[in-house]
Amino acid sequence: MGTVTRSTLVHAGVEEVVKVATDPSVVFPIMGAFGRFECIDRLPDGSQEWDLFLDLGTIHAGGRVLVGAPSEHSLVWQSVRGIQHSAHIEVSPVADGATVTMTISVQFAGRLLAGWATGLLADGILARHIEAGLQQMRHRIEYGR
Amino acid sequence: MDQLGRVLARTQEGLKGRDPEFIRAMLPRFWLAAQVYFRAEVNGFENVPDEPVLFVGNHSGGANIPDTFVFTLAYHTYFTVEGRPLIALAHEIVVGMPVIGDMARKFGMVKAGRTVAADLLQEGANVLVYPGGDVEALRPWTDRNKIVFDGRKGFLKLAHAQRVKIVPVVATGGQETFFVFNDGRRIAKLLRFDKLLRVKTLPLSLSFPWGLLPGDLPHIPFPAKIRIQVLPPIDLHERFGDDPDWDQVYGYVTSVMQVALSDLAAKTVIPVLG
Repeated sequence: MGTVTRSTLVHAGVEEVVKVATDPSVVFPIMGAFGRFECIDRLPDGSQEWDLFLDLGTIHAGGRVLVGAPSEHSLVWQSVRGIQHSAHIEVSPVADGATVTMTISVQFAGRLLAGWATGLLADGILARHIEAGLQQMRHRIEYGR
Repeated sequence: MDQLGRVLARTQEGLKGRDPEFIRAMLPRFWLAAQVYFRAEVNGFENVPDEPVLFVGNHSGGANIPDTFVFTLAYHTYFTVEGRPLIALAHEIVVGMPVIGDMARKFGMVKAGRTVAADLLQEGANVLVYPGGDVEALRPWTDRNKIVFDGRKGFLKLAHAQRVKIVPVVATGGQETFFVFNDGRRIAKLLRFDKLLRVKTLPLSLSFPWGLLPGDLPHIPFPAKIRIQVLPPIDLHERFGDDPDWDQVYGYVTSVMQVALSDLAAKTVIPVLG
């Protein structure tokens, strides 16, 4: 299991940031780091099923996820098939705007050296994708397109 | 022998010092070296308008600046050596070095200075500037994919005053050609390097063949994959008017570059290898 967390400060009102960061249909297209995304189903309880993949050049890493029903300041999803993972985007108010924190936890196959090496590589890849996604979101909120 | 003489010959500053025939002669072998050693990828030159522009890049690689090397080569292959000349603003230590400084001037490098840059733009050249300078080129490994311009806004005022567009250029991999452990700004200030040598940072670095070193010396770079992306131009007058708020302009330009740099960095699967 590997967990990667990254944060960024957005110079905008919390409500404005929340509108973007906690709505999957808004945030996934903005975060271009998710190379492939598609809404599959909207369920009666407010949750949604999405196909969500990172485009890593030669491979796509991800699968189908269940995005939790909307909540006030966060967006949560859990994999239902594909790479086993969970993710959490949280918006917190700060003095000059809002902090958006994104955490992804992934379970890897493999043990000992193979598991350690896979985890190390995956942590780096995830960290760079999360950072890119957060920067895209921040820029979109602060400056528009 | 003739070529050796050409390499060793003293060179003038600015456009007069740039030697298209020297660039033409060196281009194939340097480009081959860049392709084999750095597996260089450069994209986005179609974004460059046919008018003098100020290229603004993030600076990496310590004393070696491998991405400047790759960018300069790529520029001359795309626009040809007879095309609009590219002049890069460099630290006085680089252009002042024997042999290397002369070669750099033949390739179109000049000692950085706002008046020099303004004159070059008026003469019709494209100018390449690295606002972050040594502070950015010696940033720690953990910040290797961050824009670190250290609050410097002179390049914005230059582009605005000269009514030229800024063309941002972002690059990854250059800061993976050696390893910087820490931000050394405090120690540089304590030792008065900022006043004596115009060097504002003195971090601890690891490079070949020097090993651990305070600051950096020209070294053999790790063969990191270098990716460079040239972004669409930014017209400061059009976007911010005739009397801009410089903090706002700085925030916007660095934000555009940070987004592109982070995006480029996300293409990396394994640092150094690419």
